[in-house]
Order: sequence, then C-alpha cells, then structure tokens
Amino acid sequence: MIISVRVQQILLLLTLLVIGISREIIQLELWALPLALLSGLVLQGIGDSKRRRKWNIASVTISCLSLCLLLRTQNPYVLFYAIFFTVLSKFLIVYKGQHFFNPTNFGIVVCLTVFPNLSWVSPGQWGNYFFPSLALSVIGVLVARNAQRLLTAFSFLSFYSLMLLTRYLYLGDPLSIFTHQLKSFSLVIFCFFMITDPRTTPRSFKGQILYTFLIALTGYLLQFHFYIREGLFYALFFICLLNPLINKLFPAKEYQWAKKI
Amino acid sequence: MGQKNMKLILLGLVFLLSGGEAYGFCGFFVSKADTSLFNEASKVVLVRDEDKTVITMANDFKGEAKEFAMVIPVPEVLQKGQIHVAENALIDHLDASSSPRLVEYHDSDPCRMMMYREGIKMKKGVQSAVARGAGKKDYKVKIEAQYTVGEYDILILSAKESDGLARWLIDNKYQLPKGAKKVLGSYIKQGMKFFVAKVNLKAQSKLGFTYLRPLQMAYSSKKFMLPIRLGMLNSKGTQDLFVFALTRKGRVETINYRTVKIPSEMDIPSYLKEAGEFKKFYKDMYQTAWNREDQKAVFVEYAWDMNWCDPCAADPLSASELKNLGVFWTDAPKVNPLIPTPKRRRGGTQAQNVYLTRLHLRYDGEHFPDDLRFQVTSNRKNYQGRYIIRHPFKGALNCEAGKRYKSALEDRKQKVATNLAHLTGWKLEEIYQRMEMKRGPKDATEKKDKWWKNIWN
Repeated sequence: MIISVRVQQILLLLTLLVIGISREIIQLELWALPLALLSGLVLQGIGDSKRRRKWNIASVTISCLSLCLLLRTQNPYVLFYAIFFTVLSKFLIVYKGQHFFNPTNFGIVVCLTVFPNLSWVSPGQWGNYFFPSLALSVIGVLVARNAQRLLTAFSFLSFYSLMLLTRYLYLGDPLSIFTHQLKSFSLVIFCFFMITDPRTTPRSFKGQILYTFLIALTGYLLQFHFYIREGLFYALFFICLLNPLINKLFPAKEYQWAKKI
Repeated sequence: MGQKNMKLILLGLVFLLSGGEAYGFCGFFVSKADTSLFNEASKVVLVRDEDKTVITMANDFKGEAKEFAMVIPVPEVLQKGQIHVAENALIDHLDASSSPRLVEYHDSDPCRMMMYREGIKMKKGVQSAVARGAGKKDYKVKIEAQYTVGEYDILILSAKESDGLARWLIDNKYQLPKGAKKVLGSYIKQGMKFFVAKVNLKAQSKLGFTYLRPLQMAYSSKKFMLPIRLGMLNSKGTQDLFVFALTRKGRVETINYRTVKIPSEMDIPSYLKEAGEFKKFYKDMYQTAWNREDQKAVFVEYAWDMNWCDPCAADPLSASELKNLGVFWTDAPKVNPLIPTPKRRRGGTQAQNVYLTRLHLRYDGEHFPDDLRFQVTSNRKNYQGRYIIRHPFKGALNCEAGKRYKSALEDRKQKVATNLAHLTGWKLEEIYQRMEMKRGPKDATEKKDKWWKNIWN
C-alpha cells in the first residue's frame, strides 16, 4: 500500500506528539489538539472555498500538528491566533500565486512576537540524545522520498554543523560541547520537518543551497551572538521573505507534489 | 602576596582550584546533618527579567576566611553599585519555602467524613566545594576595577588570552586545575570578564561576621546562563546545584538540557515519617529519577507563584526579602489587549508579581559538557514535589462502606509499597518488612494465579 508523503508526515507528527506527551516533553492542554485541528480545518475550508479549490485537509492538518508540537501556550486564544496566522499566511501572503512563508513557522514567529508573555518555544525539552536524533534523521530521510527535500535538509545540516564546528574550534571547547549541540532532537525536527516544505523553498538547486546557507547563518548568529534562543525560527522567517528574490536569481520550474525521485 | 596559597571555593559554578588535599571537607557539615542532604551542593538565586539579571551565590565556605577565593566569569565589567552582599537567611528562607514536602493525611471514618492534614517540611542542605591553590609577567590581564564590598575584596579582570590569565592567577597564588586554561580561553573569546573575590580580613572583623555572606551581582546581558564548566574541572564526582529562579513572567527552564518535573504527588508509607527517613527517601528518589533520565536532565522541584503556597513548607518570601534578593520590579502582570483577562484567583492580591522556579541538577563534565543556558517561559502552572502519607482510619468499621474500605486498604498498601520501590529503587522485601506487611507480593499473586481455588469449594 502506498501512503502519500503527506499522510506519512501526519503519522509521524502524531507519533512525535505521543512521544512528546508521554515523555513530558510537551505539555499539551486537553483543549489544544481539538481546538487546533478544528479551527485549522474550518479556516482552511473558508480559504479554499473562496479560492474555489479543493479543501486541503492534509496540508492544514500538518500545520496544526506541527504547531501543537512546537509552540507552547496555556492560553486557547493564543493557540487560535497561531492557527489563524498560519492559515492566513497561506492564503494572503502570496507572490505570483504562491505563498512563500513556511506557514507553521509564520504562525510561531507572529505569536512569539505578539504574545511574548503567553507563548514560548522549548527547544531544549527534547533533549540531546544520539540514538533518538539519529533515528528521527533516518525516518526524515525515508519520509522525504524526494530529492529536493533531502537536498534542503542535508545542505542546511551541513552548513549549520560547519558553523558549530568553527565555533568549537575557535573557542577551543571540548568536543563534547560540539557533539552535544549536534545531538539536539529539536534541530533534527527543524531540519527535516520545518525547513524542507518544498512549497516554501527555492526551486533551483543553487537557490536551495543559498537558502539553507542563509538560514543556517542567520540562525547561528541569532542564537550565539544575539542570544535569541528562538533564532532558527526567526531565521527561517526572514529568509523565507527572500524566497521570491532567490527564485528570480536562480529560476526553475514550480514544485509539483507528484514529483518523486 | 604574603599569605599561603589560597583556597578557592566555587559554588560549583566557578573555579575550584584544588591542590590534592581534600581539607576536612566532609566534616564541615556534621552539625547540620539534617540539612546536609546532598554532598557538594551549591545554591544560586537568579532574578531575571528581560535582559537584567541579579545573581546571589550562597557561600558555605567553612575554612579560614583568608583562604577563600572565588573566580566567576561575568558578562560585563561591574561597577561597585552592581555588587552587594546579602544575608544567608534569605537563601535559607527561599530554600525552605520551596523544599519538597511531606504531607500527612488521616483517613476519615469511612462511615462519616472528615479530614485534616499536617505538613512536615524538609530542608535541603548545601555544601560547597573547597579547593586549594599554589603558586610567573606581561600577563595581558587588565584589572578593570577594584572594590571592597562588605567583607570582600573584589577585582574585575579582563584578559586578552588564556595563557596570561592563567599565569596571573597562578602568580597570585591560585592553583589552576588541569584544563582550566582552555575553559578560561573559551570564556575570554566569548567576551566574558572575570570576577575575583577574596575576603578582606580587616573589613570582616570590623563587620563582626564569623561566616561569609552570599555575594550578589546585578548586570544587564542577553546571556541568561550559569557558568559551571570551571567548577567541574577538579571535581571527580558529581555536584549538586540548586537554582532558585525568580521571574516576572513564569517558569525558568534550561534550553540546552532537558528540564523535567521531579516525581510528585506520590503516596508513601507512614514509616517514612520517622527521623531521617523522608530525607533518605528523597535522596534515593532523586537518584533514581536522575538515572532514569540518563543523568542528563535538570529537575524542577518547585514552580509556584510567590503570592501563595499550598501546603506551605515555609511562608512565602516577603516583599522586602524579595527586594534584597534583587527583585527589582513591583508592577502587576502585563495585559495583552488581544486576550481576554481571566478572573482573579481567589483572594489573590497580586501583591508580588514574582514566580519562583526551583531547579535541582546533579552534574559532571560527561553529562553536562556545556554551561547552563536558561530561558524564562510564560508557563505559570504551579508544581511542587509533594509526598503523601495516608493514615488508615483506626476506629470500628461496622458499616458496609467500612468493610469495603478495609479490603481496599490492603490493595492500597500494596500499591504504596510497589510505588516506593519503583521510585527509589529500594528492595520490595525490605519495604514490606518496614511496613510490617507479613505477606507481600505472594498474597497478590496467590489471589491472581489461583483463580480456580474457589470453584469447587
């Protein structure tokens, strides 16, 4: 039986949610998941009907689950706003008929900015463990099943690791600090499940390389020089803004979901 | 410097420059046996809002004052007004009010209803690590500032490279443990300055203190971290560290390590009320939980709004105590116009908009290679380590409900015993013995396995 990439992603996100909740990594309020899914589906439905498109259940489900996985809040209104901004970015912030912000990331960044006292992200809560992180990376590779996604993930991971390595060599720190940073489970989630959305990554090979390099660099600088712990999310937000420009610099055909390796 | 080599104490977070001799360290806390629960533990209070931090470090150095010295990496050159000396009582009070607590309930007569309870608090002991130093020029070390604050002589150093700083420290009678140079180098490259404190004996005798009071520093920096790498260099085993974080927003957690809640709300057998037993229980439970997390997690033992407590192990801190600890804000929580305001909690006056998080970690270089980096989250859910003893009802149980209660009691005892074994790693047989349960698990398995026993009888 062939399960589509999106269904695989949904299953994987659900698995991560279950693990997260049972391991006390995520403290999800009881209302969170139903609220997120319900409001997400309704908002997507409204948007799709205005555009006269088919109701895109899979896409919005992925966004809602990702939000529940990454954004922490104890306030239902904040979660609703997060979903609202996520879906809004898909329909309203478009360039040449294509949204260019990673929707989930847009929702997270807007919430962190508008509600700094009511929402937060907890990247450290997943811990830094070699095997779980490796396992998730392998699953990430298997689920990606698509050259473009893999390219995004690996080129980001290479650039980012290279920056951490440079820092480690410059500071003369013990190797364990470097490996500790690389073992971060949150980093793997970000790498394989956030930045790899083919719709919001540049289409060409060169564009991809530039895109991931800029995210890695901005994320690194925000985290290690400006001490902004949500650095990677902000980095993705700002670099997504450059996507139309990157696509102009390095033009290529639009991404199609059916395209496989 | 005419005196002998200096000893450095470092609260876990700083240098522990040890020269081979342990210096009667283990004997220091005998008089406080009840509080010396964790060996080699230090306490730090962090007050944080936006980019402002006030840090208070408990000083349990018990050696000769002239041998005390401490070196801490700090993010900026501190002015005299940014350094202060606090009272131990403040930290003790904070510790007491946030300690894991044992509570007792007495079952009510199942035939009637009534309940009362009593709280017994548990304090945590702290010990600081002691170390020793021994005793080359153009150090490229700049003394940025020099002050005497309370009983302390303080130097703020900046350095260009680790070699020079290491030589400066050695020439000034600090003995550096192996590996210190590298760590110093890393801090220098990260733009940190070094705060060096020694005791000014004259000032100390003038002030009349026989012990060393906690040092406080206030600074603005985006970095919200606690340097623990230097302190780990000469410590062979693990060290315990308690971080008491006071914020306006909510709970504090580490961003480069997992923060998990300590197991809580557990029923435990009544014999743990006996002298010393609860402490033993807590210690072993911490150890077990820590092992289960691969020795890599930071534990939350208490996270609560400073305005109230339930049950209270000690009164919450007063406004003036909080001010002395460095809480510099006095306003009420911010309200976002996009979010409807929830109704005020019962009787809450919001007199103090302060949220306390008590973090307890046991660390070594292998599992905690990097310094502790924190973030303040908006999580205001209250949490506490609370353990419960339930005393069975002793009176006559003649009613129907009473009979049911009696049979339920046995199951409850079983559960409590298994629970305790799971939490602490203690042997089940020993627990049964202490609980004066004659037949422990056998009883349970008999009931289950021999289901056929009563069929033909």
